[in-house]
Amino acid sequence: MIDLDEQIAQTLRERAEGDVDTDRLLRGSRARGRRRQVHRRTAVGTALCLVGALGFVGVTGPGLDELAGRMPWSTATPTPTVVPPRADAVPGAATDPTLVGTDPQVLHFGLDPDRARYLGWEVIRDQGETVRLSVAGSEEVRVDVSRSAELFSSVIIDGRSFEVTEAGRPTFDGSIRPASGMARGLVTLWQPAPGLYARAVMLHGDRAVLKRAVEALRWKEARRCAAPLRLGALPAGARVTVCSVDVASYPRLVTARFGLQRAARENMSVEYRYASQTGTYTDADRTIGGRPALLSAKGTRLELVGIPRTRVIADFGWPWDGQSPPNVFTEAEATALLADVELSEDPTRPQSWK
Amino acid sequence: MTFEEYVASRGPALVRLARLLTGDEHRAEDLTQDVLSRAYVHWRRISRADRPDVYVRRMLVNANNSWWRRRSNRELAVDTFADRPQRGDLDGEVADRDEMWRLILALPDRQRAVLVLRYYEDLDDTTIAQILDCSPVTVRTHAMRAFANLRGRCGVPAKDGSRP
Repeated sequence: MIDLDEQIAQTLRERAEGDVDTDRLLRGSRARGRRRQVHRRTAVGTALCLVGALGFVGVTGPGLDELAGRMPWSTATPTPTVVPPRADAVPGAATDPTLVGTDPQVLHFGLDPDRARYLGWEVIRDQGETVRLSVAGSEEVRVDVSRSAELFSSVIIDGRSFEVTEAGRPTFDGSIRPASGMARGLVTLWQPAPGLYARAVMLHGDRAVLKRAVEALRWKEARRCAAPLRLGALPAGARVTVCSVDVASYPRLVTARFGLQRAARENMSVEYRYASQTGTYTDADRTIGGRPALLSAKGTRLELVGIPRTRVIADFGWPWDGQSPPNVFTEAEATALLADVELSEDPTRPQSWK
Repeated sequence: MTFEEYVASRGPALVRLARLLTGDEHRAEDLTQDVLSRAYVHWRRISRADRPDVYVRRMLVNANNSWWRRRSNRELAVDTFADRPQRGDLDGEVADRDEMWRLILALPDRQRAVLVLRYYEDLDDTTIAQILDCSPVTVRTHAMRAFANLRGRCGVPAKDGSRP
């Protein structure tokens, strides 16, 4: 009989073997990497614009003494904020932790808007819920909540991607400690209620800010994942798996993303982007739901155009290099989906969001 | 070393490692592309590291361990179980390895990663610890648990001096 060492080694060698198309791997990695770079540069550019704007307010605004104890967005030139609307009929995570991550349209916790500002929120079905927030103008704090202690390790903070890992088994004891995977990051894990697991992480450590961010969370309320775009009828068999909204630069920039899934590899996303300082795209080659639209050269992306300062894009099909899986969302399904979306007339008025 | 040189020399090994971590060929390539695309963005910094390959393999293991991937893997693993050949369909050795693969796939992520890095990549515990961002003691603990798990389920004896 073969010993266990040898049997494991043989099994692994057998399962790992097979040709690898290095050219395809390089092409695909580079293409995705460039897309990531563009996204990062956009995020950094937006942040720099915001820093510039806040810096100007700082120079011309009141002195430090007058600012003490006041939120920066409640000063003479208040920064408009967005608070997702309450879902009154739905219990909060502390009341029923089993609801967390079950409905991408609902966030089962919230913030005290007097103590923190929403920068964004996200629900991923069967994974968990996320709120990004800022306390008194601080840098971003990201809070992830789930029904499982195994919180996902890949996080994006301030537009940068990190792997937040815990050596050994994660300890949900509420202590604030350095986050591995970041130079100066801090992380805390705790259980807001039995059966509920939370993690707050920030990129550059400030223990007091992280503590105040945690204190600003509200666990007995639920809020809707509202956005300036609402999906209508979904393709047959598909369901919404992701709702993600970013209001960090509101009212100049509002983005939202919805993920749809039908089977393990059948995915489609609908992205909404309003930017007050951009123009209006007009190139079109078709009409969808009465609006001009454009199909990408690769045939995997449909965009509604002609909407002032707004882009609405559906990505479908198999966008990566390599063999496409047998079943993917079709152009016809993406067309029907875009024909049925509802758009807020004024994205800068959150009251009108769907 | 440029990014292109790195992918040309190490890309195939990364995909093979991903096959063992994910248990699915398509997902392995997708995962490897995703990790390499992140490495591409930070390549200047990564290439200056003492051992860039350790860093990239850590990214690969972490990416696979992320919840989204794990959840998808579980779905695929169920398919794998359902479709697996019965013992009588193949000769004894192949059937044994098929059974062993099924058991390895069913191990917790960290235990499986330790086995793959130790028995396929043939890395020492110190390097595995660097990749998994834990101590060598934790690596040995994962290995011992994985061994106990496999031994208990398949009834294969460990030889004297087995690595755990």
